[in-house]
Amino acid sequence: MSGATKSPSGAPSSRETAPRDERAPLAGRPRCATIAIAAVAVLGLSLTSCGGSDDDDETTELMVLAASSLTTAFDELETTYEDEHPDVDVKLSYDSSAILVEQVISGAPADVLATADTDTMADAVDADMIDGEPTIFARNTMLIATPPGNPAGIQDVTDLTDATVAVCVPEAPCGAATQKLFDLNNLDVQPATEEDNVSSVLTKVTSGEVDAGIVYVTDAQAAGDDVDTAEITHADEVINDDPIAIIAGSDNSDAAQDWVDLVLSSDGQQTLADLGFRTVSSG
Amino acid sequence: MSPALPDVGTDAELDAGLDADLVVLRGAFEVRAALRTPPDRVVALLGPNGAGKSSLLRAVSGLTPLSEGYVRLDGRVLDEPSSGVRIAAAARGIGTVFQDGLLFPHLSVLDNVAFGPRHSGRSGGGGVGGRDRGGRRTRRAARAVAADWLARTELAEFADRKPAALSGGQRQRVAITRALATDPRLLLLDEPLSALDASASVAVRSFLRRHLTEVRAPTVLVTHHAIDALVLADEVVVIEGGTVVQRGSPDDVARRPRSSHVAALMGLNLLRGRADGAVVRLHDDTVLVPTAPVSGDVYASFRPSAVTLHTSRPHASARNTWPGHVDGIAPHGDVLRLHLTGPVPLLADVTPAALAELDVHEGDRVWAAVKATEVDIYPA
Amino acid sequence: MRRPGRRRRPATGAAVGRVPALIVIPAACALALLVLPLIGLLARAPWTDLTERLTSDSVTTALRLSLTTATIAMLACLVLGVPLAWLLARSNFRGRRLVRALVTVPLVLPPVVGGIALLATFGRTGVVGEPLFDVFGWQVTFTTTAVVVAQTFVALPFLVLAVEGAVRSADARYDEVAASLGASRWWTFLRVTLPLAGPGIASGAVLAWARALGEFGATITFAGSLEGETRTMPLEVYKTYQTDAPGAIVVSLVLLVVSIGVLAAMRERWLGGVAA
Repeated sequence: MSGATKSPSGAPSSRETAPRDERAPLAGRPRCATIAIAAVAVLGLSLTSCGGSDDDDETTELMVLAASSLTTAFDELETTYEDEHPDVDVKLSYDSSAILVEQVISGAPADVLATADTDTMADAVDADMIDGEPTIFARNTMLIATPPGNPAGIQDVTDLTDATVAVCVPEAPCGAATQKLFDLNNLDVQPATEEDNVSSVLTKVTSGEVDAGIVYVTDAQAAGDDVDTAEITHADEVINDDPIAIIAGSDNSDAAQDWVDLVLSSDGQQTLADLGFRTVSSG
Repeated sequence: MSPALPDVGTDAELDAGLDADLVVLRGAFEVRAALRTPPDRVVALLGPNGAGKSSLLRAVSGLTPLSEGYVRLDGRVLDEPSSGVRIAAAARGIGTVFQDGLLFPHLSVLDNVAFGPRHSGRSGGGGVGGRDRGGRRTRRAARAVAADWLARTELAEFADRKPAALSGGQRQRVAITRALATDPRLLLLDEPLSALDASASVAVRSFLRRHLTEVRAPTVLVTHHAIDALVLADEVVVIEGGTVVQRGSPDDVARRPRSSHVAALMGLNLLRGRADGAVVRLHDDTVLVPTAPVSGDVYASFRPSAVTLHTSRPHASARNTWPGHVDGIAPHGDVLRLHLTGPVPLLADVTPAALAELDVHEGDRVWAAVKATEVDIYPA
Repeated sequence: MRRPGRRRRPATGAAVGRVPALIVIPAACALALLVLPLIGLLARAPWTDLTERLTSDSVTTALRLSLTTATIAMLACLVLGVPLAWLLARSNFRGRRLVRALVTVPLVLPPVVGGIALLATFGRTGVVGEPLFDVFGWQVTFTTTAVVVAQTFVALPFLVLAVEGAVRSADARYDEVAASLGASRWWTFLRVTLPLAGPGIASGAVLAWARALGEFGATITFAGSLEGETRTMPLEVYKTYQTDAPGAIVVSLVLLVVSIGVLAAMRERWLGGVAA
């Protein structure tokens, strides 16, 4: 029986489709490959140009790693140095001494290292990362900093036991010194937070988040009106010596030595003294 | 203001069962219908897709708002925009069976059926059948009710299975049981068989036939298959283009359609004309001779099997003849159904043997004739 | 001669051709970028005194603190985030787009900025914190609560976005079915919407937990760093690294192993259906 069905719409079903362009897919491929190669080349060039130093340029870069407590001091010395040595561009990196030493040991490309105590510098020496001997260039002691107006009424270190206090981690020079101070005063102070470097402690104080923070004399001086201070009993017995040294393998040992000399010079020492550091008798 | 709808007549308002005058907005179109369904009756809303049947159902169940009119169930107003009354769908006590069943995929069959008894709170009185529900049931009690229903509908063997493990027909039967288990005051079925294949729809249709008779609540069934309406309903309401075009008993609608679409649904040929006693004049001036005198506007309907085909104009006893072209030939059971175009489009059923003998093909010109005795003429 | 019972693997993809090199090469690079650092970590770990370092007080304390705070933060994200996600997905309120944009802000914010923002709000001198401190003497900074707050802040967007996607894709028709069966909106949410969105909620929770576990910038800024109180594993790694690089590797490994372990376990149980 014939059962031919007619589609209701009556539209003819197209048997043939438009002939495909066989060449189109192939034509696309070489172009894609070219773009990919070009992209990789551009990436490669830009990456290589980032890594190396420009020896063709006239300016040399001097990389100085310094403890956070030296921020203001070294910023001022940077201006002095660059005036005297126009062909050198000084780059400064501030952080906790412990972190900086770790970076140096891991092979960070820096020229000068200045820490906030001799223990951390000794780690770098032990790892054979220092050229020659480190030199002490300044001394620092600690005090209590409070937000302006001293809202919690901190008079001396004994008031800290009931207060919200920020200190440095014990592994950092400021933290080690703080711990010694507490021990000397026979106090068991529970801090609210242990910050990784002294700048962070200062920030907690200036932002009003804590009742008090233990910072360097120089930090408090630099903060000026942003903090009030109080003395710590036995503070003079805990002195952090700040050593400076040239890092082994530095490409710019001349410039590095110039920097060290500047720091130890009478100009340098005056700058440090003005900021509250105790100076060493310069030789 | 409830609109006066001429197609319902002047029935008094029902105090039991569904009483609704519906005007629903569907996009840019309006759908209007009045439904009066006493308890124990099944009304079928029949019509082609897009006629607005499902919109009416959604308005009754509360899933879509009414724009005008009202819905009253057992004397209680569920929705009346003019007075601002609108009861949430969950509080209406109306059970719905959806086209796709929509059993909760993460619950077993038993938990699906128990869902209603478990989570429906008081909806203003006990369910139909006199049982006092008293608020939501505990899980155990609900499951017991569900198990009872599953036994009644012979689906107990599936109780622990997940819906994904059931066939389409089984799922739909569970969906129906789930709606019944809530003891609804009104049962709505939205195209319950449309998503099923042929054999499943036969099974579920007979399932419905068996169990709907036990349901005391009024039932409204929406479908676009005439056979569902004819088999399951006590009354058929035909909806087309947003309005009711015919309502009556299934027999009445099937034998005496009053629109070409209804006729098409029923698979009948339908012509319109004017009678002046002895003769019926169709729109194209073709003349039909009725077996009994009749006057006024009339419909003339006859089955496709009553049409005979001829390759030349017949002069025999059948005086009702029309020329036409064969537009399409399709198998229809064990005969072939021909679509004829021409001044009077017709459906004609012929046996394959007869067609072969006539040597007629698509596009050929033929003459169609029908005996006067086979034509049913009735007032429009 | 084939061994009996051994099935040959059917050739897949042969019909469409081999995978183009332009896809394989970048993909291989991506894999290398992800995997090589982990291998480097393993290679440079001080295996000799591993146990000693692993069981030191500071490490176990930090680990316990991390797991506790991350879990609490995840729960907070669930309680706060799921309702918000449902609102964004299902209800059409004015300003919905704005809310969704705001929810994604912590995603693009550097964590330390988030920490500063939290300080400015809940710190002792913050908008909300100052009156609380002046009147009640309450201070949330430097407490474990601050850690949970910081972690919740950064992890919430992950959960909200994941759950919103899941709720959105869960068929809304089931809500109608539940209503037709008489369930109130609340029960529908609890018994239908939530279970159907389950896998999405689970993966959102896992994401949130993982993000909370690894949170550093906001935590150290807002909560400070004190052993047992606020020094979570990431903070412990950072502190250890200053003086003891090998030790830092050990702590990193611990964090890595714990994170991978939990993620793998959760994936099996809850995400198998979705991610597979």
